[in-house]
Amino acid sequence: MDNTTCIVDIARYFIAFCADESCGLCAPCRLGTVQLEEILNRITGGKGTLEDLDKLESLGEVVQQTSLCGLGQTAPNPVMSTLRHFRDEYLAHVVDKTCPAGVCTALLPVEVTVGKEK
Amino acid sequence: MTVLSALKTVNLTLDGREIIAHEGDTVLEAALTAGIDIPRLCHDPRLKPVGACRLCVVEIEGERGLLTACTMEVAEGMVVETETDRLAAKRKTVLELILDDHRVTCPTCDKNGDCALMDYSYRYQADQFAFGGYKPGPVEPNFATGNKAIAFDPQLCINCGRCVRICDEVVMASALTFKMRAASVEVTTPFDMPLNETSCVLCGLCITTCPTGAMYDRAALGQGQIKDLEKVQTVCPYCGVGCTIELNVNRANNRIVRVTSQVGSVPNDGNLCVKGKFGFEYVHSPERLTTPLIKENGEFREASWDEALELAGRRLRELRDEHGPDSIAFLSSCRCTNEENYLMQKVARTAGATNNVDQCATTCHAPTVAGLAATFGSGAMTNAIDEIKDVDTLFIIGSNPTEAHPIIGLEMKKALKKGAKMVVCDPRKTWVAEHADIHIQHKPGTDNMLINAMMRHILEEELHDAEFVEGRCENFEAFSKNLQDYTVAEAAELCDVPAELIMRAAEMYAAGEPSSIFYTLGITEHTSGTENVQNLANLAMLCGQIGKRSSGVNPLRGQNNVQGGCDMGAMHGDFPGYQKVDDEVVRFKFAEAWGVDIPTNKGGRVTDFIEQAGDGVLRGFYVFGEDPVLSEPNQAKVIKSLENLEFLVCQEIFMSETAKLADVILPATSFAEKDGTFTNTERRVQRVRKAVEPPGQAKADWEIICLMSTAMGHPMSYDNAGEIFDEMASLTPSYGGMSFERIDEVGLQWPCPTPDHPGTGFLHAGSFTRGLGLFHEIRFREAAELPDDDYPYILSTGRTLYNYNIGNMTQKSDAIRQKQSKNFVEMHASDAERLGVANDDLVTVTTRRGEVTVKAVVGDRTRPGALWMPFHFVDQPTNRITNDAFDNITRTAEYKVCAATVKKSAEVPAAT
Ligand code: SF4
Ligand code: SF4
Ligand code: SF4
Ligand code: SF4
Ligand code: FES
Repeated sequence: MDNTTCIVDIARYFIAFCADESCGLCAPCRLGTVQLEEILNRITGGKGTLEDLDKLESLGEVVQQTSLCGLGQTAPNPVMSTLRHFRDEYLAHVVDKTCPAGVCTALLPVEVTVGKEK
Repeated sequence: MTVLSALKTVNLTLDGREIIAHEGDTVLEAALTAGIDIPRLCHDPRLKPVGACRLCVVEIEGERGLLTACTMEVAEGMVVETETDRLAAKRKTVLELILDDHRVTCPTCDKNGDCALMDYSYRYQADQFAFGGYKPGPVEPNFATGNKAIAFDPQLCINCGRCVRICDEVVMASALTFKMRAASVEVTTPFDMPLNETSCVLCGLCITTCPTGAMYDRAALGQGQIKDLEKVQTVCPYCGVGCTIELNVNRANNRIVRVTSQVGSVPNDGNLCVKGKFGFEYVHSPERLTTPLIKENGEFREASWDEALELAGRRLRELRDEHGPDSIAFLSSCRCTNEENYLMQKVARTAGATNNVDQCATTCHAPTVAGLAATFGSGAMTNAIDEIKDVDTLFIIGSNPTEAHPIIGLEMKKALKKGAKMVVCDPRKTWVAEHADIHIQHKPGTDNMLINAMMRHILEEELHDAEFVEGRCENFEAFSKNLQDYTVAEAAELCDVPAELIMRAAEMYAAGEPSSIFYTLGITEHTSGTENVQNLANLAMLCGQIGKRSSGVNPLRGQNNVQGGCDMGAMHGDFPGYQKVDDEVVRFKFAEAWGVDIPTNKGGRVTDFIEQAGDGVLRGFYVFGEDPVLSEPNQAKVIKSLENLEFLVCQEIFMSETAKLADVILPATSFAEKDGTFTNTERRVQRVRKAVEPPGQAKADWEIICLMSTAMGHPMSYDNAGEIFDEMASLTPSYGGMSFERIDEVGLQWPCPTPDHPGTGFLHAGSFTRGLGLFHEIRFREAAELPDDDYPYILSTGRTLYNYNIGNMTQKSDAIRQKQSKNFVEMHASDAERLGVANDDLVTVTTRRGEVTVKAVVGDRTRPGALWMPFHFVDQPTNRITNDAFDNITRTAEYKVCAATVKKSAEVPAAT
């Protein structure tokens, strides 16, 4: 990973993968992974709030602790560890509405292209 | 009980309380027993735990993570917390996740009032909008769309899997499955087939196990939320299993909205079959009789109760006075309660001064009552239903339990899952036959040849229980000598089955630890019915497979209360409790109690009554809750005989085919409209409770019988059913210890002679009721009518899962009619091919007595050369063509064998 990789987007990618791979048998994994993905979608889409960060944490913990099998129990790990170690990046997305790595398109600075309108 | 206490126990601490649990119990089971209510959505005690909802997580000392109580077994010294703040927070979040995926519509949901999701959401104050709230998508048709029994709303489904699992594990129908995965998983049928085209048996267990409103009774929709309904515990009115059901009643409009059953109920543990679950619509049918009717100039006109009773009572009494005790007869009803059957035989013997009283057992299990009484001393199922799951070798002959006694079928499935072996002797490939270790598909009517050969083989190989035979039985010498005339080789030839199979079946039965025999009408409805029964009793005694838990001779009784009807003495030769009318002492006892002289005429059976009506000997007939025109063989002759009566009074809930011939009709009540008791096939006396008011002027049957008695000049009155029960119990030793209080919840199994007697699970422990078991020498006799050139096929009749007897109750249910509404004949593909008949073609089945034209169901369920038909349908009724040849002892008709021919019909099938 280098500074062109967005940690939040990576976390989102992982959880989306898990939400898709869930066998669907147990409720927290089947439904919790989808909600985690939704929240991360919001954050990378520039619509995240500070409250969402708390929600990620508490929901991630529920999914980890109550899921039936290893998939659900580990699915939130990337989210939880990045939240802990790269909280700044999350804050940048949520508070400053920027993506430091320039990956999340919704948070890229708007290009002003004067006179090019048709 | 001894079995339970023999289990090892485990000590553990739950929420600070010291608890003793059984080894192997889950933490959840231990907690529930201790009254600790751990929340759970995917748990059903009937199912293997899967841990899907994760709501039952608990904290266990020494374990880092949370563990699900439903999957975790108890261990010695375990310390468990079931309700901490941490757990509450987790459960709240899980519930919020579920609610976000659930269209919360409690105000219009039928489940409101008994919804686990709603209750737990409230308990943990889960917010349905915590994750934004459910966003409904378009409503797509699904596998249950259009099904009249079951509806499924995927937007309410929480994917707990209980419906799928119960259909698999308990019903073994495997009609439901999950499709897709992750958040898109959805309950469906294989290939999304419409439910009625799958292996679904419409038992409705998927509905009753569903913790939400996702699976629901289609007909109940909008008829009242559970919170507004009153549950009345009573007994299913269909078969002899006697399932405990709850009628969910909407008091506002006096209607039964749906039927439920509680897990733990006896004997069915919350399980029901299609009839018990969906067959109650008849109670509210607009076709119900609501006023007394008197026939004038061939037409019925409405009458007052006074007028109808006066006429009926006077005419019966006049005929009796003029022509003697054999000129009138009383037909009691095994659809009705013990109290009513008791009164009916009492009225016959007091007001009627005749022993001419009978009930439908003559049509079905009279050979059982006679045969087993002669052999063992009492004619009833020897074992309890809950013993079936522990049988090692199930020996099933002439019985189709998964259709005719479905809940007993479920118990047999439990035994199979535990590794039981199964021998099935049946001319037809039933579910049990297909799942048997050995299926003997013998020719209809050759049972005694088969049983004799088996016993001969057992004796020759010395597989019998010599000690049991020696110590507990008599007449063995003559019995074994008789067997010398029968060989396996001869039986193989005559029954048309491989000799090898006969020998293996005999060995498997003899070796079972233990084995138990189950039979039904395939044994009794023969001209050799009583002998067939006696021969099965021989087989059990020979191998010592009787008189112990899970082992004996078990006739599965047909009608809901046919055991009770017999117990109550609605039979010419018996008072209640099989006390004999020809016994002076017994006669004196009843004469004292009833204050009359007991009549001494011999009396007859229903089949005699019909013949005697035809001969002009029987002149007056009081028929209560029976329809002999549809249920007795050779319909044309039955109608002609009944038309010959001078006076016929019918007490009925519908205008039955027999009622149409009546002079007076008295409007009666269904099981849901009166109090009383039924006795099920395992001798369990159970409470029937009034749930709704009867329609119009209809009256409880016991009241009508009292009024009839009074109108016949013998005043009779009781305040309630309990009073009748008490009188009966005081005169009936086997019921002597019972009262409405004692049988309130789960009933009691007779014999129960004293108020402190716990009832009897299995009979003949230590010694037989009659002392020594009596071996009978049974000769094989051919059926009365054998196939010949003109009528080359053997026709047998029987019941299907979906309908009951003459169908007048089941056919009122939309759900059942949608599944099965027309008569049909099963025939073998090889015969069909020769006759150019394809599946669903109309064919005409003809016997010496008439013909019916029905759809052909072509396959391999019957033997080549055999035909099989149900008898549930008024239109093209099967009993138009059955044979009125009777058992030599009990006068039960040979419904299982008559000669027939079949040909393709020129008629075009009507659209269904
Ligand atoms: S299933 Fe339960 S929670 Fe859902 S709408 Fe129905 S009553 Fe409400
Ligand atoms: S009604 Fe019974 S057989 Fe049919 S799907 Fe439901 S559980 Fe299965
Ligand atoms: S329909 Fe009911 S029982 Fe079946 S999975 Fe859905 S919620 Fe569970
Ligand atoms: S098994 Fe018999 S008693 Fe039980 S629900 Fe079915 S018909 Fe009723
Ligand atoms: S009840 Fe234990 S996981 Fe559902």
